[in-house]
Amino acid sequence: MIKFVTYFLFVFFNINAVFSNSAEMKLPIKVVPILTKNQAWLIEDPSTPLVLIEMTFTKTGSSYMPIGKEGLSTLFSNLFLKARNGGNHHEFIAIMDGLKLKVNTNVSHDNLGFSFSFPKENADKVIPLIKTLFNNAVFSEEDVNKNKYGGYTNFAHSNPSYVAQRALHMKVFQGHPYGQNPDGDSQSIQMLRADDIKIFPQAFLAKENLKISFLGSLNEKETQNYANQILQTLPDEKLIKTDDIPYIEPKPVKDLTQIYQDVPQSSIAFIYPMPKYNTLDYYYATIANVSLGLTQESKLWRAARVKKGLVYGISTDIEQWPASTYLYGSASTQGAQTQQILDIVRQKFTNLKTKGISEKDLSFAQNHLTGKIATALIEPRQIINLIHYAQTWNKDIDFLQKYVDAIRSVKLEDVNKFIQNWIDPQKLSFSIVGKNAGCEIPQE
Amino acid sequence: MRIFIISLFLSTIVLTPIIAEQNQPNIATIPLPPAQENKYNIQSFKLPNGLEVLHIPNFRAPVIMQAVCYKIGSADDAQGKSGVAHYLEHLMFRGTKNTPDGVFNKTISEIGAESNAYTQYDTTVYYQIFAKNHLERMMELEADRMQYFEPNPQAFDSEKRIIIEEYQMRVGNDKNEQLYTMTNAAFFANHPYRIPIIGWWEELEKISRDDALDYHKKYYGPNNAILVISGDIDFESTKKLAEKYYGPIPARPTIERNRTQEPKHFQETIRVELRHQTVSAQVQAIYDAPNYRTGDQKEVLALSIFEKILGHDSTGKLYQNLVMQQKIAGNVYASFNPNYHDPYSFVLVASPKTFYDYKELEYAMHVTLKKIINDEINDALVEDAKKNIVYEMDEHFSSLSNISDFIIKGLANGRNLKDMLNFHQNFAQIKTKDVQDVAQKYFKNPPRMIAAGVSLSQLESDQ
Repeated sequence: MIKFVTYFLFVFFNINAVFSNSAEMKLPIKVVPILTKNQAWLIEDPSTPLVLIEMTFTKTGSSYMPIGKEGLSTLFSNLFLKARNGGNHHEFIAIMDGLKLKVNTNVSHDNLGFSFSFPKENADKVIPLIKTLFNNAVFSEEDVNKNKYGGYTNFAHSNPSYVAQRALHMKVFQGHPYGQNPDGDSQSIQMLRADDIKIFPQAFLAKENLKISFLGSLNEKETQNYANQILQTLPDEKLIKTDDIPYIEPKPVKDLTQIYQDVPQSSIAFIYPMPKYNTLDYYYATIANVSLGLTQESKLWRAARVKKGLVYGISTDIEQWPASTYLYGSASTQGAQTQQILDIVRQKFTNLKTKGISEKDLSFAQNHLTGKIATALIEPRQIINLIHYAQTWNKDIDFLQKYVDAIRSVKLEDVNKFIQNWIDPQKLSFSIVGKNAGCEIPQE
Repeated sequence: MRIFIISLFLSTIVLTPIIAEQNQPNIATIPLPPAQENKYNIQSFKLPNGLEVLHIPNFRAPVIMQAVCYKIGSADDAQGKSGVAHYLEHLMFRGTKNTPDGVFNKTISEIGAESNAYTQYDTTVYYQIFAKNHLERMMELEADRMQYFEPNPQAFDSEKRIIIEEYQMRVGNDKNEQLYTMTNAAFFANHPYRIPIIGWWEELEKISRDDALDYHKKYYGPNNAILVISGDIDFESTKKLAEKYYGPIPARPTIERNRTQEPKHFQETIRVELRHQTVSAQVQAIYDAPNYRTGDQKEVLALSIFEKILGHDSTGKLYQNLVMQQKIAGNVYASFNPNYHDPYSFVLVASPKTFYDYKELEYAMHVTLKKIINDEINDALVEDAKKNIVYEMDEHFSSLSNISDFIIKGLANGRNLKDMLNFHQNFAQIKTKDVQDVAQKYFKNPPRMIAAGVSLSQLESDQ
């Protein structure tokens, strides 16, 4: 006999979305007005005992640091939880842990982000604590000196995939803020002082450049209350004004970037310029990339992994930053096989240009791109990341529907016209890290 | 061990149903906890062919996860054939009698699903996450490879080459993984947990096509598997679809596990050390410990509480002592996982604050531990640890994949559903004296092993 148990916990809200035919795609986002002119995005989810908060300060990432202070935002991010309460960060962390408050920081080239999670029942104590994080930065010179060289000096011993990616970024964006090392350079790091960290919140963290999102078992009123408390002590405007950094198309690097590491498996990175985000061409590029390297049905995956067994994984993705868009690809293979991977990548780019994609490829890509949205909704952390990402990019709350409509409306002839005009295998840039003497950039 | 993350989709491909619909079999039920003790509303039943099915509802979003767990893992690989369980896991994506090589991955990619598989010591799990309207097709494909596994002949060689690349990525390039491999090989004298899940390179190269086919035939029957369907679907629909697609698969002969077991260990401490630029600076003290299946339940629960007392973030006693007071460690934590089929270990891990603190740290860990087990376990600490455990489990279960994974691993390793879901009550029954007793029993002697990662780059930066 089957026992039936009454559902009483999980029937809370239902994200109304249809994935197979994209008739409707809507997340239950509420827009909550908060202090000054800001707004918070909220998804109510009583199925989690947690409150999740995402905060992003735009134009505060590593590329926006003043000349001579490169690496400052990364150092602030690394020190964020340290040196509180007059320098004893262990005591502060113990208070956080006692309240089950988890904090993560994330610094990119453009933005500085903070993630918080804690049990709803501790909100009354946690929210005032979060508030203090942004206006009570007391750091000792000793803490600054101990931490400022970390990322910079460890770079050479880092994971080869990371080294390959970073080295190539620095080359294709040379001369542009995106080409800087987010950890700073030897001269700027030396110049960083405790006072720089102390003034950092006032200089860069203001209401005017804040995006904030909430998810959990909380309503609009509670969201407003929490957000207003956190924002209360933030200045309305940043002390240091920053202009937008100029848009840049990554510059192709003709020579192969090679870095020696004594590892049996080499890592390969490649970059190709792509059209600016949110243009029609961007959507055509997105479709073309599904065929090239995004999925396990892609041309690269099938050639390098399924047919030849040369790699455990190979993939390409389109990276969209506020001031650049490009295709980034990566693979790893045993040293002696590295040239074969370079050749396959070059060959698949050439084939894409000469043959374009088929009607079947287009339909596959459209279904893939719209269908995969469901997999981003499996847990609360993923859901808040999705909506916060959209808010940070100044999208409307119906962003999913717009994305689906844009993908579905792409026509084959437009994609192939774009491929013909845009793709030029000569513009591929490669880097490899490992033991790869003798490798060369493949030619026609 | 994860093998791939597929992202992907497919609504335009129409395939002939692989498995003919048959009369619905009768369903036997497995004892369930009472409703009030089952806040996650999990229901389970067993098909006549022996397949255990669990339904975990969650209507947060129109997404479903299907997971099939085979109660067999790398620790069951035959002697000299290490890596065969993981090799088979790769081949499972390379075609069946009814579904040619490529169709499975193409289907997954086309519907935008995520698909993955991982081999562990005791289990092998295959799962997919997808929009709710694709459940039937996903079940059809998963049931098909359970019954009609027949990979493309070319896949046997290419998947072996791919695994060698995976080996290099996970082990060859990673000194921390090499330290872990060396540590396990020394900690377990006789039990197959001493062998890496991916296999020893030399044995992996010799595994044949027939080894993989025989392994599937022997172990991949419905009576050796657990199916979990979690997400936006009701129980009745889950039951009907499970009967339709998995019901017709015949049971296979029951297989008893026949693993070599550990002898009684000597008391002396064994040492393993790896010195390299890229290894993480660490000192691990590793102790013998019981598991849920073969150990005393009360002891296992009490040790789980002791783990939190020692190493629960910065409120743990070890952190407070070694990091905050003595300032000799940069971080410290404890790790105890009793969800293995056979007894595993209890590990304390500390990272020396500077290169020069290694020796002192090992001694300080020992002295601090003695002090804690002799004098410091009290009611307040025990109650706080219990609260932390329960809170963390509730938090962990907010994710469909976490709760599925927890349930299938527990069931596959001999726990029952009622015990697993009653964790609030189980921990509530443990008293301070129980924790004091297990701490004395398992930690009064020095650790059975010290494993050290000696970071030469830390030496450079300290100089």
